[in-house]
Amino acid sequence: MTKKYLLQLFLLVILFFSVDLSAQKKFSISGMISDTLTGETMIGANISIKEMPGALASTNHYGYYSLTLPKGKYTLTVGYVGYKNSVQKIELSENKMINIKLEPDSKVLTGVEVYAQRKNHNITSTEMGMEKMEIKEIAKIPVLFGEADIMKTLKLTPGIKSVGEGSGGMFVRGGTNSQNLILLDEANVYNADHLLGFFSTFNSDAIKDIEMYKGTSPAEYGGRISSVLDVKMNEGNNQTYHVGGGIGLISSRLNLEGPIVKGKGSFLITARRTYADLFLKLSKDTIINNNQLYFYDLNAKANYTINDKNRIFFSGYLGRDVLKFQKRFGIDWGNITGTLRWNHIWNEKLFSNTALIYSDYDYKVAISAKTSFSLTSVIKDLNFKHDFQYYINSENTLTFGLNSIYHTITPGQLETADTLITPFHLQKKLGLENAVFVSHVWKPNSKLNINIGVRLSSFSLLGPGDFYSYANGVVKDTTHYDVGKVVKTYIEPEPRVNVAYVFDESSSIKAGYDRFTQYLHMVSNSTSSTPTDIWIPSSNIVRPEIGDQISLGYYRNLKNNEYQFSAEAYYKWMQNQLDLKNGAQIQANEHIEGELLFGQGRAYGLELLLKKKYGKLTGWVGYTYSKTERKIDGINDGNWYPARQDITHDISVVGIYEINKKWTVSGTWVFNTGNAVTFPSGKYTIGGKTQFYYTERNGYRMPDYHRLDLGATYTMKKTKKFESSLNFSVYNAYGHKNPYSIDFETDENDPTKINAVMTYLFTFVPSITYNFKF
Amino acid sequence: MKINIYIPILILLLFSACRENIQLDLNSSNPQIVVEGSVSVDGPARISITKSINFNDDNSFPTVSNATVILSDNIGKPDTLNESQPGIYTSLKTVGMVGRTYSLTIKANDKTITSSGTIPNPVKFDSLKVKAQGGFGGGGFGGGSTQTGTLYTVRVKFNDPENETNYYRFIEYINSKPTGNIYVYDDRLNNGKTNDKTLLNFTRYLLKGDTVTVEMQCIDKAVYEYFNSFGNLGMGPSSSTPANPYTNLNGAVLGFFSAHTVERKQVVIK
Repeated sequence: MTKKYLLQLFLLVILFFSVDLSAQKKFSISGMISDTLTGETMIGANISIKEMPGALASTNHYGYYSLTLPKGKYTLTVGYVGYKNSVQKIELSENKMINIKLEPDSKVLTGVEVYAQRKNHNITSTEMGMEKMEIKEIAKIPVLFGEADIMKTLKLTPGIKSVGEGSGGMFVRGGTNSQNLILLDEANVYNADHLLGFFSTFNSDAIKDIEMYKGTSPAEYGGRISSVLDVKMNEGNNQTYHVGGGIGLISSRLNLEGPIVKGKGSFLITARRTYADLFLKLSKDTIINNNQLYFYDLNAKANYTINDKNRIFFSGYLGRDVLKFQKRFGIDWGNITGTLRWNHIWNEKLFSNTALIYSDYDYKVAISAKTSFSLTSVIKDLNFKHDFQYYINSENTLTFGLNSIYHTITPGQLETADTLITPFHLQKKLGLENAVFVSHVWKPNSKLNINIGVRLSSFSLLGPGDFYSYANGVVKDTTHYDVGKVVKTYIEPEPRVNVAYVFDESSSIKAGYDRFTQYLHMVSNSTSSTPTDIWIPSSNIVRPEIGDQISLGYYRNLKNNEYQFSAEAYYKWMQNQLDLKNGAQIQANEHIEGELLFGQGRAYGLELLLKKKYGKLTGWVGYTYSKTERKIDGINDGNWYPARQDITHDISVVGIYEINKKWTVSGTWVFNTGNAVTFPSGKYTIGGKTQFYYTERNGYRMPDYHRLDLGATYTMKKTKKFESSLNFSVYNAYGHKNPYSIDFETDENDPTKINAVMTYLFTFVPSITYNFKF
Repeated sequence: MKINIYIPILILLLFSACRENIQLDLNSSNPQIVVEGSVSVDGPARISITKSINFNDDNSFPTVSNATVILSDNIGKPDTLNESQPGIYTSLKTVGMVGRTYSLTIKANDKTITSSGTIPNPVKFDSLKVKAQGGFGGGGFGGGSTQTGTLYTVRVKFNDPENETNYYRFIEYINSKPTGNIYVYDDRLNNGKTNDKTLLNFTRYLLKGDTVTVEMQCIDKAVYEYFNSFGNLGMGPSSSTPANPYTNLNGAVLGFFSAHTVERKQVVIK
């Protein structure tokens, strides 16, 4: 009852201040900002009016802006980093559509003229706990096997971690890998890692914009409790055709783009494949050369501007990983997504985006040793989204909409030709996840910037099927539900409040409170994320995960925005966290819910970041102090214990130096204290074999992790018609042995001793990639 | 079906040269009482009581003597076991009967430990096959050991009854010495079918004349859960967080008490 009243009160507050009470006659200018050479729309381009310093607008995710001003004559300036400012005089006596094309200017980043364009968006926006990446920066950062990777680059910023070497996954502010909402052109990506984390599913060649919210995303986003990674791809050059790509030691990529109708429509295709297993074939040992390990990705997009007010888009992604062990055992897994979108401009103040999205994540395990069978698991989503952006006036923007996802989870189908194994089909799980949201960006004066919103989300688990209740892990009751009947519904309001108070144009303080709900949960009994982890929906047994985060930050720019400093502190509570009993059977288990253990989590931290944005030398230094713990019934006697991803100190230093027009060098150095791990504190014997005695969960730490990566890019040729470059990189240049795992084994020579044995993966890995574009 | 084992094994294979011993500073712990108790349908009842030691100590596990160990079934008189060897308490009087529940009470070092188990229906051990194999090569997974002999595989076959839930444990002895590897199965996926299981052991190097003995036990659910919750089944890096297995003992943290049927088969290497 109280929840409903609070929600209504909240909505009133949000909407009240969005009424425009001014009596003056006002008109709006609106339109699209794009790149004059490629036709690509620009996200976050800034529009300002010289005569009215408080009148500011920026383009949305589709390049659309709208600004409402009183009747009069104005000087309109549009700017974006890396582009020449566009300045024009306008006379406003009626609503006008003004589309503006910006000209790129690479000199702008290093030259003195840049002063006028240096942005202090980080100071004035309400966005906190948010990392926005520029593609040009990512391309220069050295990484493993020489391929630019946005996930790896994000992990070089505070608050975003990976755990150990060779295990994939992204851990944001103490959350788990399954709590990140990863969107590629609005489609949900379930497994963002290839090859156990060595590569991400994002081919950075065609990425336009990346926004990473560390638990502070506005009400438009929902579904996961720790973070939102919103990746937008390029649309494709709608002026001229281009081919580009790169050939490397382990992987290669190719992209094609061009106009469908010049100026109105374009397409983009990118493809990537690794051939790491070719090296395995070089070995004479049949155990090694008989294995397969590769992945491929394919992205295809097309868009068409029907008229001034309508634009349609199509995007598709296909990615697959294949791992085959000696022809006896194979896993292949991957994502397929398809999105259809429609942008509509209703009037000079109202913009909408409608999307229909299909996504499919599946894995297949096939064993053909003495027995042969295959185990398949699939999760399919059909998603409908509609949102409006209403640019009321220069102080108020309202975003509202709805989102509906129909989930079909097929947890395990066992097929076999072997008569000794029973084939079975685990019951499909069907769920409907809905949300409506409203979000108000309000700037009452030049000092205060408020983003207040609420998302009301719900989840219903649907029949047909049998649903169980458990006592001590054993089935107690079975209830059957027919097609379409609701087994259980959860409704959760998720308030999001973020406020920025700007002291002056170079410093501000921000605070926020955000709540998130998650209805799909990942269950894994592996310490590293594997593609065979299981997703289960909320149910009569499993409650939705809820994350609450409060954050506070101080932001300061120095030397006219050349340096950006931020200090952010957060505290996070996580409810209804899941874990598994020891030895739990999660594969092909109809009663997997009986193996679950439940509890809560908490995390807090301080993130310090100093970035140098302009000049020959750019880069950043980041430091994070953090703690993340869990308290689960049935683990560690119900006491708080450090989560596996708890890493106390984390330092990253990234530097990119443009020596001259031909050479750019870069380096990254990372250091973190080890993550929490469970090691034995004693030993005993069972059946003649030594076993280990554990006193507490995750009471130890892995050894400190550090490494240095170096890279150099040599621009061979750069003309309007053809560009080529060579990229050299060395991963782990001083070869520090960072453990992949630590195991305990009896000493071969002295059976009375047990040794701790470390397996490490990469020391000093050089790589060369040749990149081209024409 | 431990699918997740293959991924760390593949990683190990790809990087098999990159392993080395490291020094870890591990805490010491209070010595814990460890009970290995068994009542079976043949042979004496046997309860072994030892203690845990610190990680860096030499592997000589202290035994617990002068404990009072009492076994009783739900029918006859309680049976006090004799300490026939240091830390090992046996009795010829308690011979397991199918369907009976056996209770164990131990009083040792001011601690009382109790447990119970019921002997399930026996399932026939059909066959044991021991064959020489190629495949994993001479290196094994121990990291370049210089074992003499050939690597052998061991396969066991039995028919699982359809009308009940069955749990099995296999113990492997090489020349009468137990290997200590843990092999437990339930019948979730193969209920009512012929089960053909390979007992994985990557250090089974045998010479002519060696004897391989395999003991098949039908165990109850609690004993299955005990052995199944050992994180590391002796096959390379475990990928799940290790923890003490779920014991069916009350008053002790380590060990188990098992009431089971037994059938043994043996193969001599020619």
